[in-house]
Amino acid sequence: MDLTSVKAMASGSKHSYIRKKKFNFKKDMIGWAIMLPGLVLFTFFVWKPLLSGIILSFFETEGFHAGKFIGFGNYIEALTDMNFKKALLNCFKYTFWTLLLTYLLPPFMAIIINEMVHFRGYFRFSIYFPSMVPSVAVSILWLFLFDPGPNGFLNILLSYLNIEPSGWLQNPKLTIPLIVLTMAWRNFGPTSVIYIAALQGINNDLYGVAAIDGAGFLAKIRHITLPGIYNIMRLFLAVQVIVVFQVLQEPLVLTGGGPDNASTSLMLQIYHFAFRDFQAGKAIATSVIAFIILMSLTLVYFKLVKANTDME
Amino acid sequence: MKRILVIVLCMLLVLGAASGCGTKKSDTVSDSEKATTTEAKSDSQVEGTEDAEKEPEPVTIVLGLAPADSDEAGLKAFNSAVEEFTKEYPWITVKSENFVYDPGTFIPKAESGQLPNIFNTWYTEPQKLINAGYVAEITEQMKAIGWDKLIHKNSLDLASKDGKIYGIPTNIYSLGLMINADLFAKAGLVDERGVPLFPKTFDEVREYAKIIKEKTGKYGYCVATRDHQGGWHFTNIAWNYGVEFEKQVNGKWVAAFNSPEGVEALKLIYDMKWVDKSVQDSALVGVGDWIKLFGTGQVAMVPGDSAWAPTVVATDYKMNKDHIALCSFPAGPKNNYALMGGNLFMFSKDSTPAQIDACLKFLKFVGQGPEFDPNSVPLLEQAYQELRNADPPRPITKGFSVSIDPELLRVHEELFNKYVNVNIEFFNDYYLNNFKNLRPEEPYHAQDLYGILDSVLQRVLTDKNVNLQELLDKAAHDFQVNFLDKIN
Repeated sequence: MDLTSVKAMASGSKHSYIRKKKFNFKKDMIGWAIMLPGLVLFTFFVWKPLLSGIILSFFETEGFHAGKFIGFGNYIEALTDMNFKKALLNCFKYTFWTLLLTYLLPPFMAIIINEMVHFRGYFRFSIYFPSMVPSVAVSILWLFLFDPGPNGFLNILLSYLNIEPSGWLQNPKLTIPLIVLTMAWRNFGPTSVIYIAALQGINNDLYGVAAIDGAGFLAKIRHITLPGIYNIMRLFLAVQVIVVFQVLQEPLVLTGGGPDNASTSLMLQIYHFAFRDFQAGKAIATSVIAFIILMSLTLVYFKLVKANTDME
Repeated sequence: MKRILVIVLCMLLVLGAASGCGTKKSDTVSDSEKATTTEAKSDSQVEGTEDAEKEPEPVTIVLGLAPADSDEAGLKAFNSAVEEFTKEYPWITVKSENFVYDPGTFIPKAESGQLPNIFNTWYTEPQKLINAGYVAEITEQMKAIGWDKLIHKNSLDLASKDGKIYGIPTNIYSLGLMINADLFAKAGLVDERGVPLFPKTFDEVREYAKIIKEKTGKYGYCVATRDHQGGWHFTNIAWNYGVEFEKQVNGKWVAAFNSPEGVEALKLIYDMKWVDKSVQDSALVGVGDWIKLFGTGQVAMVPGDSAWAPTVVATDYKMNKDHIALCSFPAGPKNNYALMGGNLFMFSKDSTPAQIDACLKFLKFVGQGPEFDPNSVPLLEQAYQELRNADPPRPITKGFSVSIDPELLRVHEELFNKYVNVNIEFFNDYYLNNFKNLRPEEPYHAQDLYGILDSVLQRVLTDKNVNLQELLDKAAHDFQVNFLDKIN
């Protein structure tokens, strides 16, 4: 290792260290060979459809086959569609409610479980369990619970408390928050398990020293735990926004996008364009628009994080 | 050596993955095979007259016409028909599946070559499927056997484009009102012979729904709101209130349903929901939902036609056939129309002429084509018997063929009269009156209109303070801008 590399490592600049490495195909051949199947599959199943889709979005379509070149015709059609604006707005609503209701849930559960002395394994399994149930089955289960009639399960519980039955998913104001809750119920387990792993990676001595210094539970959380899982929380923020922005299956099964498009999402709209209305060009153009929005959000996010890191 | 081994293993993995991407030869028909089968076609087409002399090429067809597994009786009759058919035409190998046309799953199946050779769809779909290139042209085959002259012209036009034929219309239906006779009886809405008092107008529908809700606690009327079912039903209600959905003004098509008549029609639904509380609680009701509500006796009235009766009984809910009645679609203040639609057979784009020809033979053999075939009578009788002997027995209801072959119509009528197993008085109002004032679906973007109306109805059922005029104004504007302006 030369002096430049050592300096780069010492200064924490891992990237500059890696950059200095020379590309040596012969030496890395095994690595490339191991990656080859993945790369081939990735090329055929991700990049090729992606690029074909982008190209197709500039053509009139017959089924999923290109016809006449129409430039931005499909994009104009998609952007001026009566449901596009609502679907886009709903995606932001899904994201907002997800961050508000569920973003902090996994780290919170992870901290509680991590603090437990007994039955830790049981609770870890319990929170993971819902993610093992097929998602459509989960949605149908929730449909029974949210039945809007007086004989719906939750409404029967409400009736014991002398509360009027609720429309649940059929109340346009509740439908997105409730869909978000059903998604959270199924998905927060695996995320919590990752947080638990991160928590267990924090050096226990730090907690001991903090206790000697007189730090209480909250102070330990604030000064040791949260900084310890900060990077994972940052990652999950980006991942959660990207995943929730593409929500499809839950509104499709639970509400079909209703009532009156109150829960329709961009992905559901794309699904409707493609498979209900047979407008493949419009569907692909909408997908590209969604892709651009997500890409922009992600870039802004990384820029903010980078600025924050640089300041530190 | 180790490195070489790793590389070879990786290449094998890549090849494995690549071979997984390939298409099985047996699943598709290559160009050369098409050429072969095209030659076979000309043989098999003339076979109608020279069957015995020719040695036809073997052909395999996939029929998307099999009933669902839950419909054991229908499936038994179908399988037995297939068995007889393959005895008669030993060179035709028949595979079958229960293909239910669903716009939501059609494209993936079409794009991945998984469509059956022949499938059933609705009158609103052919132009969409033809324009998307998913169906095969059958003009030559239809003309060769003369079926193009045996189908009512208006129906055949629906399945044609630019003079080319793409489908075989089989029947028409008219939207009526399905009645749960048991709930009507419990609510005292029957005459002295126990026949339900059929509502003649929507005022009566509202009144009866209210009585049923009060006396039985069940919903009087079901307002569908999903899967385009709501729009489909509401269109007919609105027509009878005097609504024009699409009209030509100065040569341009205009969405005109935001009229006072439209508001009045919507007010009926609003009042039944919020004033009488006689419709179901759910505001998201698709096909499966209303079948469940009706089939389990939770709702007393829902728009439907005679083909739905056996379907409702064949589902898991096993509704008693004697509890189903059907009457003509109620009149509104202005009109007394019944929405007319129908079904047709279409063929996947990958079907070879020989396969299409074999499918036509099957239709003729089982009496589903527009031409009478004496050999089909025993099979039709067997099908009726299976339905009668099923557990629970299916109601035998009358279909209305688009054929103009008088012999076929006569035989179908005779068979129906022979095997009918329901109290005909529960259906006579529909059979005798509902075909007098038929109205076809709206000419442009009917399914898109239904989708927009679904949303309108969902809003009416979820928002007590909704402004009906504003709601219809927005819906009409959306329909105009997104659909009608594009054809003007």
